[in-house]
Amino acid sequence: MKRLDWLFAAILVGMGIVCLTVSATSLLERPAEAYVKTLLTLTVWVGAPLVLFGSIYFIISRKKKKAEAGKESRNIKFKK
Amino acid sequence: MRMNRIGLKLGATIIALFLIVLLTLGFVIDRVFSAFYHTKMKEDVEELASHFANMAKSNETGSEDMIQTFAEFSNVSIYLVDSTGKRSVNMGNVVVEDDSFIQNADMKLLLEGKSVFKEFEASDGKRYFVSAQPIMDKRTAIYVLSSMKSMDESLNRVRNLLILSGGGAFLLALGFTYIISQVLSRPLVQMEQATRRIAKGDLATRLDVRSADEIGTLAAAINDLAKDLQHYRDTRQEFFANISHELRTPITYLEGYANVLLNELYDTEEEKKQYLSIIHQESLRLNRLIHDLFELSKMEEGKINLSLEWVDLNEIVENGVNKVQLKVKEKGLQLYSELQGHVPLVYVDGLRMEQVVLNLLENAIRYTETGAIRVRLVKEREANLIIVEDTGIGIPADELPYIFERFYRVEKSRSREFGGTGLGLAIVKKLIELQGGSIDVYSELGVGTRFVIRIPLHNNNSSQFSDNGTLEVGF
Repeated sequence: MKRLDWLFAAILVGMGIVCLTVSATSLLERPAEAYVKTLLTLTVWVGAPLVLFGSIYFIISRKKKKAEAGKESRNIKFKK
Repeated sequence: MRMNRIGLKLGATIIALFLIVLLTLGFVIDRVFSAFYHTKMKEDVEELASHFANMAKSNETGSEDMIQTFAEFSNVSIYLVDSTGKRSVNMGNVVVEDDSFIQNADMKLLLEGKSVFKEFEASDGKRYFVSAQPIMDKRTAIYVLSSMKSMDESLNRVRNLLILSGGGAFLLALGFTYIISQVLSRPLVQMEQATRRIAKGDLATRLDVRSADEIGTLAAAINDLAKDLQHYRDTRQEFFANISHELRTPITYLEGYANVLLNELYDTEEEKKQYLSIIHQESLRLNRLIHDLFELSKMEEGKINLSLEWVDLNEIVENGVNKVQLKVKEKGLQLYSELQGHVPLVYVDGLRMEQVVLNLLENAIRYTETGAIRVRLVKEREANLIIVEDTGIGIPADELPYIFERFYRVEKSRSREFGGTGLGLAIVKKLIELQGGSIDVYSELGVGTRFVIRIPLHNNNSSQFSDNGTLEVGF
């Protein structure tokens, strides 16, 4: 993906979070104060699954690569 | 920022699914909020009406003023309606001119002592909750009308916020969908471009294989295909070059020495005999080359006839060893054969199998200068193995996959030095595969080479046994 693609996606995600924050805080008595807190909370909620699934994917792929590397080295030893 | 078609389809599908979920969820949430507000307002108005009815029932002085005060305080309109359906007393700030909310059917229920609740839209378009309670001992009813305006306003506000949050969730999903569709579709687009380049003849095209999933496997398969095609193209050109070279060499010898004899350019009879011998040798070589080529093409077309019978491999190996004994002695090598006392018979063509063993033994003699050649017959549960190994010059590891190809030579200069047509191993492999077996080679440069032929015992259909996996043997 090019940098422009990432920027476009980030703008969309950012706009989405802002819309959600506005709708979550506008009925409150002091929306301006709650705005930043809600924005950060929402960002954490959006980011948490990404971090979680990203970590799981990273761990699994690393384990797979290690297993494959071990298998290859065993094959080389065996052939020799 | 160009969205490819597959990415667009993928993204559109995800967004469509998301919209389906979002819209249905939004509708349900809107219904939940509306029902909640509606129920709450109904309970409040009914409770108020019940209180007012109790107050109206009491004959205490000042109760009417109290009702008036409460009505103003609660922002509702209160009407006392007699048994004929006429409004007698109006209380509260809100005045509803339209009295069509008083229905005969409702009055009938009220006079029976039942309460009534309904929604009413006045002629000016305003909407009200109407709750009516009977006052039995006075044969009247008390109507409480509460405006729905505040509830509608609250609901509209909540609805607008829901739409805004829905829009936010949509943008969020759009952003992530854009990333996902780009990431997932890019390898497919790259593969499509690569296969197009390969189809146009750019066989050096390779894909970067990053994952081990189906997409990674597909990319690896495209790379393998390109590699094979490239190798096929290169070997085809090499094959034509080889065949013309292999045919031209003996013909040049024949032409040259025939010319010498024709023009009597020799000095002695002995010299003449030597030239005739060369002509004879070269014609034999040419004949063998043509014969091998013909054999190989017949095998590749599947036109070869095999006389399959139950054969003892001990005999085959023994015959082969006996035939090469003289050559082994001439070269000063050692030849060991390790046969099994009893091996199960195999269903093969005996003569062709002997040809295979002989070919491998001749190769071993050809490429071994010192040391020994060993032939072994090994019995396994599912197959018999013929192992031919030598202590010859060996084959480099990167050349091993190609040694069974026609005219493939490890060193191109070996052709004249060691003899042979370059078709022997190609014929050996084809013959073994046609008989349901497989052949593997293990070699180390400077150490030696080992050929392992595997003949399955249950050889019902030769084509079924063409590739039964690798053997657990090696240097």
